[in-house]
Amino acid sequence: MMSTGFIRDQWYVAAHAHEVGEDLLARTVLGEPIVLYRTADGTPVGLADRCVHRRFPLSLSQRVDDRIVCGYHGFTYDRTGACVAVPGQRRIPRTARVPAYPVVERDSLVWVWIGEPDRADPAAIPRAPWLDAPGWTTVRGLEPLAARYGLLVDNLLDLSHETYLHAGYIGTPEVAETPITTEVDDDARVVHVRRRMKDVACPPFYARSTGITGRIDRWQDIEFHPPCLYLLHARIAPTGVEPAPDGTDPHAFHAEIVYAITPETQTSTHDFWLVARDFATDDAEVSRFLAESNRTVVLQDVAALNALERVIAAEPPGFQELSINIDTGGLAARRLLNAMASEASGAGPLPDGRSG
Amino acid sequence: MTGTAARPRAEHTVYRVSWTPGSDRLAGRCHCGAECTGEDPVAVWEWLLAHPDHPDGADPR
Repeated sequence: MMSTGFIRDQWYVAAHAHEVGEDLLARTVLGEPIVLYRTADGTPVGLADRCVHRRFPLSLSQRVDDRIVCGYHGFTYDRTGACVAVPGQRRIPRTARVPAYPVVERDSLVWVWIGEPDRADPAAIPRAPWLDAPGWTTVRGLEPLAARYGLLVDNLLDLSHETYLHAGYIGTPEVAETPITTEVDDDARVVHVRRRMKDVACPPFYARSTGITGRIDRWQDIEFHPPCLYLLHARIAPTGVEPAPDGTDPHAFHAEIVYAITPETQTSTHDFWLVARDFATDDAEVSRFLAESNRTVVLQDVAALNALERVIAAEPPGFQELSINIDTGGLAARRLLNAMASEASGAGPLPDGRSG
Repeated sequence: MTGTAARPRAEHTVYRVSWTPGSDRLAGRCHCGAECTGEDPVAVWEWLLAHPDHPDGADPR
């Protein structure tokens, strides 16, 4: 189904890898209902989640080996989406096929290509290798967001909100007070936002997980690969501990905070979150604490953005926003997203209708 | 572990806006080397993205 207002011809995260297994998983991406499952040989598959016959969701149907048998009338589809059996007759109508989506499993995430299948290049998928690399441990989750995609992009590109929305978890006064540097690589299409905090308070999120009791140097290096992947390279170290001249950094703690921001509909978003760390990697209590804390932080964002969505939906278009220094990265992201929207086939403006 | 943040490649088209510590000023630098300062991020981006026709004056405020 074509949708307007989305950035098509792009890869989007549809699921954590562990979500895709024997069971049929329903997930809507850019307004397109998809059924995901994993074949016997371990390959993830994504098919349009509607039987061609009477539109019954295939995700509510039965899986038989690597095929799906529609739970309404028995139309049977193979992993390519081809219908291989219909009830009561031998002739299979020529048009009996559901679209198959290009699907790639990478770095513990399952990506789907939304757009023209011929344009799908797996090499274009941005990487987050820490998520399943040796020497790292990752906790993760997925929260439904009843707000448009652009609001979560704004949220994540401006971390000064941590000071106010996430105080007691990851927010300290210094986050909002520390100047940022924003760089946009127009060729690679990446937005970088760097915030380097020196001799600052250690928030509970890192104090409890690292064991640091004193003040810290804290780096927040954002790398946003629009439209979907957001990487926050976090470095935490006791104040004064610097990386070695050769680039190694053995006395610091590193956390890779990853978000995959996937539009579900025009006004709802899949908020995939992951926290990978290179410290206390075998400590289950640290994993439990970071998972619980980060989910709490994500749910604080979800509550705020859901409220913001209701505000925006109720007000007339054309509200004139005010942007200040903290918004420099968010403005850069909006511009790239708008450029991509205008280039993509069948795409219109961003779902939130704003310009960069 | 080493630091893991990727950096923009030098030969790429990179725009940079730095918030000057201790002030409210933003310093913009275009990939062509042109520079500006200002206090409004929208204006600074507009100035940078006008490349190669950066408006006269280096303060887009």
